[in-house]
Amino acid sequence: MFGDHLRTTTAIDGDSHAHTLDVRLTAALTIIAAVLVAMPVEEPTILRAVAGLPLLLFLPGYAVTAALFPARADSSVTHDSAILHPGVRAVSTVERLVLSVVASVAIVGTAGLLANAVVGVFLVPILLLVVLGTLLASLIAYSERLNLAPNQRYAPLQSLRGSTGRWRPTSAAAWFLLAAAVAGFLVVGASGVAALTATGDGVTEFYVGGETENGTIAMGEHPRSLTVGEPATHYLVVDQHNSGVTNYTIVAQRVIGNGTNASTGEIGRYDLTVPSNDHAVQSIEITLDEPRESVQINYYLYAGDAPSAPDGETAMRTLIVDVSAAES
Amino acid sequence: MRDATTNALQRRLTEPDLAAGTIGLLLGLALLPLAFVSSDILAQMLPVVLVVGCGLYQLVRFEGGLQQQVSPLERISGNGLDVLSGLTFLGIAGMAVVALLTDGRTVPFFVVAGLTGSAIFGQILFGVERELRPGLILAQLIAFSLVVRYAALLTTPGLMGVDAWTHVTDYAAAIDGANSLSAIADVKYVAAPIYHLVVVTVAEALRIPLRAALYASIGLVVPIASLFVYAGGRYILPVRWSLFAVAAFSVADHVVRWGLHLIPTSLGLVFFVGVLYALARIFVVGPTWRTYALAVGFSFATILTHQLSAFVLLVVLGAAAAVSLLANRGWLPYDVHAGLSVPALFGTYVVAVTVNWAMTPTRTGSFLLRMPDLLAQQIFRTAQFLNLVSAPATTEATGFAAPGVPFQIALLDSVGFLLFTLTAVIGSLALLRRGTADMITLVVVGALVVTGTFTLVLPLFGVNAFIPGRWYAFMYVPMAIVAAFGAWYVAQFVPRRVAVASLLVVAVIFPAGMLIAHKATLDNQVAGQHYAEYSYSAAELAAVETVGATVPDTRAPLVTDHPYRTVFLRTDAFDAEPLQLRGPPPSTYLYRDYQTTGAPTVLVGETPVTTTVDPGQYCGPETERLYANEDVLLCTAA
Repeated sequence: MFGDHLRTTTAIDGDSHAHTLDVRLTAALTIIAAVLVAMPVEEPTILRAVAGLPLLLFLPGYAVTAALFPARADSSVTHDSAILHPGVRAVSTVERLVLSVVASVAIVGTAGLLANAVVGVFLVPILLLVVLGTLLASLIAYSERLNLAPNQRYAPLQSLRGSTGRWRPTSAAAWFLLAAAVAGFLVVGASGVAALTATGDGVTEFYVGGETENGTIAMGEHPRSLTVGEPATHYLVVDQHNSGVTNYTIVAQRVIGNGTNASTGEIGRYDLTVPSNDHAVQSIEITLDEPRESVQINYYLYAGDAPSAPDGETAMRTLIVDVSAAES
Repeated sequence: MRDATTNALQRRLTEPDLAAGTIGLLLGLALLPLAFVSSDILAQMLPVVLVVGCGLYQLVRFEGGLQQQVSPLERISGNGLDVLSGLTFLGIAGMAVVALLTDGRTVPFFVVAGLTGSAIFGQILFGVERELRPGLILAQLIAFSLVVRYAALLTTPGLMGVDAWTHVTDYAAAIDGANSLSAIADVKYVAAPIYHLVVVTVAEALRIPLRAALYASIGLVVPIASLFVYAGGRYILPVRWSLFAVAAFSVADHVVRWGLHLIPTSLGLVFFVGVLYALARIFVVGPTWRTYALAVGFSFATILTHQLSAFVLLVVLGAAAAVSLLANRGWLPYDVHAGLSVPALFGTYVVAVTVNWAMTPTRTGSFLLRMPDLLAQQIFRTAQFLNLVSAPATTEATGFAAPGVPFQIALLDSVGFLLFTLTAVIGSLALLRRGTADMITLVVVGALVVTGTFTLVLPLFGVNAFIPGRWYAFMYVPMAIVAAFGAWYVAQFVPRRVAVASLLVVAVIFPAGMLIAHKATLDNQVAGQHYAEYSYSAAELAAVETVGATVPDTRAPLVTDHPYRTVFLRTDAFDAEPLQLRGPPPSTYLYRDYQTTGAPTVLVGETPVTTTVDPGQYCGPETERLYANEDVLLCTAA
């Protein structure tokens, strides 16, 4: 028993640094990432993502997995055709990877729950709990690992450094695989960036309404019952979700009667400049000179100039409202 | 002769796999007439699959006497595997490029994805054993899974599905705004808030919108968690068949679905797979406190994430505990012993879930007291044999295909699932064989049987109270392991040519079949005339926002199709009702181009029907048109 202890102590002196490098790195990265994320300065999103995603989706789970399973899987029993039996204190690399990710999510969620119970769902207390949990797990992992004989310890960074069996392409097929994997990674990454930064075709909205008491435009609340000879105001809104300033033309048209008996007259043309990703409002006054039960008002929206004979076919958008006029 | 027949019969009764196969065969034959009384594709085809699977197993078992094939099936050597791996990476890159160029997951995307998926399955099924590099294949699989999901997530404006809108724009936003769970104090998720807290924390940490935070966190974790199937599978299966299991699970339609429609079910599935992985470890490595801690941790995480996932886990752990107790008592026809670790885990879980549900609020008291009442009401109201409920809106609940879909389309849509089921039927029989069966395999079969009962059998009797549509992805976890056994059985014992042909069919048809299934294509249906899309264009979402912001609340509810109306309701933009084709025209009607080109659901009387609507029908010249954008018109009765 004392002999075992002596052997362990000697092992700590000799190999502890190399065998616990990943655990110490985990603790250090956790603190650095937490400080970066918690700092009240505007960093680029990419920097926050590089620091924040591992902090929230990998490091806490990695530390907990390292604490629970400090030993390395015995490669002699993980033969391809055999059933895995890595040992009580060990997990395979794939297990360690997936456990790190999923356990991290559970830890972050639990930290949020605890923070809510104490101070509320705020970033700093949640980060503090995540960091404390990760550091505690790292400490346990450090201790657990050193309690094992050196040849049983899981030491991924040392394994990488000392690996002699690393795969190197030796045939044309293997070179093809390497080139395809690198190309695939680059293309997928570039496509992802392109998809994230895509602005799309944009949307142009066109609607009619009336002005409310607080000065906003309420869709569909335009005056419908007019008094003969008295103007009523319709508000036309063009809302564009495009970058770049755009000039539009709105044509207001009056249609009296229907079918072949319909008579059409233009009320007016209105130029409207809409700033980038913004909206503009055009007020249009409608006046009817004689009593009418129903007059159709068409509003045509054109990007740029409108043709001499505007209609629903050529217009970019068409709105139709119905008004009536009576003597006062 | 008579002695031989008697011996065969005796063997059939005393060998558990043969007895189960016989029962399955008879059950399948008895259910074959379902094809004449139900138009549902699964009701028609599942009995056929059961008969074919059980029949094939019995035939091989009797004919071959389980003689293993002398020469292995695999034909692809190291160089061949390298080339195929390289082609797979290029295929994955091609998928990303096609999605970008065609602005989403269109048919060309699915062609490339199907071929790439086949390349991965080809490596797994036909690669020479000693040349298989599991790490490389898993890397391809994860990259493939990520591109399949993110190709949809990053090219689709807004969120996909129905519930995601509530969870993100309502619950998570409220928690973020109030910095407290008290913002959802009257919602059942106040007792299961892990999903929302993770999304809010990531959004705050990265200072990004909630949608982006959802995609950067849960969206990433769901496909990666599939690796649990491989990790757990390795305690039961050799490398090749563990790879097969994880590949089958990753491309399965409902698993893809929860990678697109990212809601608490998605995260519940992640933790659920984690528990099953820990369970496999408990049975194989032993019930150490380390593994037990994992099982308990993931079980509690499931409870704190999603009530339905917690219920599925309750059922599965209950089945595992029951199998353990039966084995301990010697009541199973196998020489197996399980100890009390799993019953103890089940007991711990029952206590935790009871406490949590007692604290979960519903409108009329705690979830624990309300749930049995709700279930009883649901069951007695709808229970009836073959009451599949023909409403498209209920396909979400039942998981059965939408009615009115032509047989060929429905068959194409279900071919992946049917192939999966066929392989799983063979696999479950192979697992029950004496000599193959051990505690963990019996538990896996038990888990498959109970989840299969809730998913496929209860809906046949009209019992949809357990929301069986949500169970598929959970059922797929044991099903993937069992199907891998089925594929192993075919490779080992079926005559060589038949085996090669069968596994080729699996490699070619299964991934493409699963990826184009309507549950996996919420963003852009391949059979868009028959299955509803649960994603929206930028113009459709702009209309929701503008209508919500500018139309006075005093106006009558607007009328539009399902599922578009759900976005108005879930984002609290405006009150919206389903379009009723019979009856007076709606006073405020929202038309979108999808109503003419896609598969919207409207009401005909009381019945939801998938049909197209002409723009002139309720947005003609006699109506006022108050709003217009690229895809949407808002019309009111003049």
